[in-house]
Amino acid sequence: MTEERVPLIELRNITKVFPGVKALSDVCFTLYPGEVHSLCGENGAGKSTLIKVMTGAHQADGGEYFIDGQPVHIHSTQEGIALGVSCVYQELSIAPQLDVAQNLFIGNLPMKGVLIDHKKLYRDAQEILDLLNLNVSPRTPAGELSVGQQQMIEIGRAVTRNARCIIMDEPTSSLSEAETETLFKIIDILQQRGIAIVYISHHLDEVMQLSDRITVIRDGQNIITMNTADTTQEILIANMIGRPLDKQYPEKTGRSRGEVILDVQGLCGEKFRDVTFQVHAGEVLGFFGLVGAGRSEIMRAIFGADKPSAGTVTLNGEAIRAGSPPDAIRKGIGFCTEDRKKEGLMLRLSILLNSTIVKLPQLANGGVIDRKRQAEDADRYITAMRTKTPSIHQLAGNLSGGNQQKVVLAKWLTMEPKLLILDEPTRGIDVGSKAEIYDIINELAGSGMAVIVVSSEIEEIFGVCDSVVTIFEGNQTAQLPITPELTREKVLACSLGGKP
Amino acid sequence: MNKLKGYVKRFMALDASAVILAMIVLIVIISVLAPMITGGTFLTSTNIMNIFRKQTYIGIIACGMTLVMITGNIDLSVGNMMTLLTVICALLTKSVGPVGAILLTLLIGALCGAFNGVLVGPLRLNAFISTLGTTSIFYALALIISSGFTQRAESKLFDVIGSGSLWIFPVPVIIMAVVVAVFWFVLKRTVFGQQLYAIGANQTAAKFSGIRDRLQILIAYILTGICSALAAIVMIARSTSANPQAAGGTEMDVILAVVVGGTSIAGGKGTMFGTVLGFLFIGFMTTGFTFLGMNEYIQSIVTGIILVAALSLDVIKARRNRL
Repeated sequence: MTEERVPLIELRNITKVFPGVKALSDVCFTLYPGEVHSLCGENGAGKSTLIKVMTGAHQADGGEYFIDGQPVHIHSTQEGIALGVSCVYQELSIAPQLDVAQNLFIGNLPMKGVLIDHKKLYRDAQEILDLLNLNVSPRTPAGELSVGQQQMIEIGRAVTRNARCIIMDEPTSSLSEAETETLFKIIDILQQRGIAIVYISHHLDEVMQLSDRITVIRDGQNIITMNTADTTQEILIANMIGRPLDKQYPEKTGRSRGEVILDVQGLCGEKFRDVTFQVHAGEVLGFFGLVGAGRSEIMRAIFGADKPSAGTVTLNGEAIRAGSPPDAIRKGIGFCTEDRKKEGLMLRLSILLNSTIVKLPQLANGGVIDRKRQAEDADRYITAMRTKTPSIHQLAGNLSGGNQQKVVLAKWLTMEPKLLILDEPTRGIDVGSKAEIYDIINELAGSGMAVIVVSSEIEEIFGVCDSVVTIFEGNQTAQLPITPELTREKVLACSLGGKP
Repeated sequence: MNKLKGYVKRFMALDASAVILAMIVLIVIISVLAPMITGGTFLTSTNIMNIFRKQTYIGIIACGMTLVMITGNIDLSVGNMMTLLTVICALLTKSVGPVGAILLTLLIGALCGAFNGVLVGPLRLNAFISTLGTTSIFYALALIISSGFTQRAESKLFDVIGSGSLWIFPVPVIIMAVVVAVFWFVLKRTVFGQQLYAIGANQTAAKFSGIRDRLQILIAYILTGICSALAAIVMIARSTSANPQAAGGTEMDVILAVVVGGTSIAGGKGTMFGTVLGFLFIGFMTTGFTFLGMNEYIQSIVTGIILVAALSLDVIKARRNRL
């Protein structure tokens, strides 16, 4: 990057304070036209807040903001968009009933008097689709597109608004590998048109591959800005967590395989068939397959959230009643769902209540809660997992993703389950918290708990599991012990329908 | 000075600060205006006790409504349910005597609540629409069983409940205080109460945490039915008669008290303390307006405006808290 050029965006000493927390202090950030600049940091480091200051969703409490060297004050995201700053968020904002063209131009449809100029709309839409190399018709309802394609539409929308800077917040978290490739090509096209990209991702290999420069923030402060060419992933991680990360995955020591805890026989449901497997005490069993292969549905059926059409689930020799989570919980099954916010947490309620909600009936005498025991229980697990929070009375919604996941874990650990099911336990979580969660899984298995880990990351399966079940389109294709001889290719092949 | 600032800041951070401030402003305005317009004094112990005595039925039902609204639901049928129960209570008094009538009314109240609760809980129908439906069912039933006539109900027991006092406290006020205390305890200290918050904040997560969400919602409605029955008993004890055409609009006052008290219409948030404040606010307001001789229809307009304002405040607060 040549430093003589005028930066497109320059943030100087930005400070942002929320009640009780200093989210950003004296953060500086520059963005040149046509560059991909990654923003890295653990959950809660202040990345989201910084983006929101850039887009105008938040106003900084201190510092200066320049666009093209001119000082600006952006009071809303609309003003930000007008100045050329657009953001593609993790949560998509696609109107599924409208077609692709309408979604692209939503908010600034071409008009002919008071009517929409449909001819121009579809012509312009086709132009954008061609530019982004997207092979969809502008007349397709957006709801029929895949998540990946919808995201491309969102990027296209930013282009229609003459965005000069597009911020992408975890764009690949719900994309398949092929879709990720497409996204990278689009980023390349945008770059050539002089559009600058602020890229945020927990996938550091993507960061290393894509970006020209990387800025690391930690605890709301600038740590370092570096040229990607001059750094390595290890240096990057060390900067993010403030210390060198010795090992991502803990040693699988102290695990001894005990008696059978969970026995699933011939389980069938709408999206899966004839699933049969066992989990032993002290064993971590992985479930590997593509997103949508039916893994989560199998877990939901075991837990009783959905009723299976056939098959039995037995825990410690006792049959689990089909379709009854209370029964599964009473007999000792814990289930950390894939979607923390929708199915795991009550964001508007305290950590205290969230982490003890499952165990509450046992913390009570005749229905009246023993509040001292409740607080002790919550405190014990929240502290043991080193959850970053000022107090257990804080609302769960105020925590970062990694810490929220720890609250969900605490909720199940308080009830001391015999079997713990973890569905994508590290999705959307930063490196530091990931390692901590792997440590916890390891400890639980060491203490004799049976654990199931559902994951779409092959490294995670190899790093934490003792054996792996592969699922392809609802069929169980293999169950393989994780040994030094087992190759990743073999597991991948099984998850794509191959025979072991 | 700084110390004062600290107190002010802490007070403003309270969920209830807005209601308390509004109430103070209201009392000051009415107290100043009252001598000018009517020549009377507003803040006397008689007036205050009258507020309580007249409005207790609203306060009692508001307790049940708070539970239902914390689960993210609502019960629009409480007004007509109460009317139906007064009619039933009056008719039963004539046939089985006051004690039997009271017990049976409570039971039937529970059944009415259960009817709503089954629709909203186990059957998962929309709470607004289904309780709007039961509203007209209860109304029609009240007219049918009373043949449209006001039913008289007289007994010594009712005289005690309606007009008796313990020291300076009227019996209806004591009944309400007991209901408030019981519901405060239920919400704050019991598993059931805390599970209601969980259901309101995120019903899916609650279900996945092993909470029998539909059953708990059903129970919240049953408790609201019992509250309506208690309110009906207090009502009949005070007026010694049951008018099947009366009590329309009670549900508005009840919902107003709960919402003004800070319970979120989206669920997951609300306290008994807030509901009591909301109830007091409504009480002071309606009594004050009547004291000032304000037209009843104008009062209705003001009530409506306040309900909309309280709801807006709830939404605005929720938006601002989203980081």
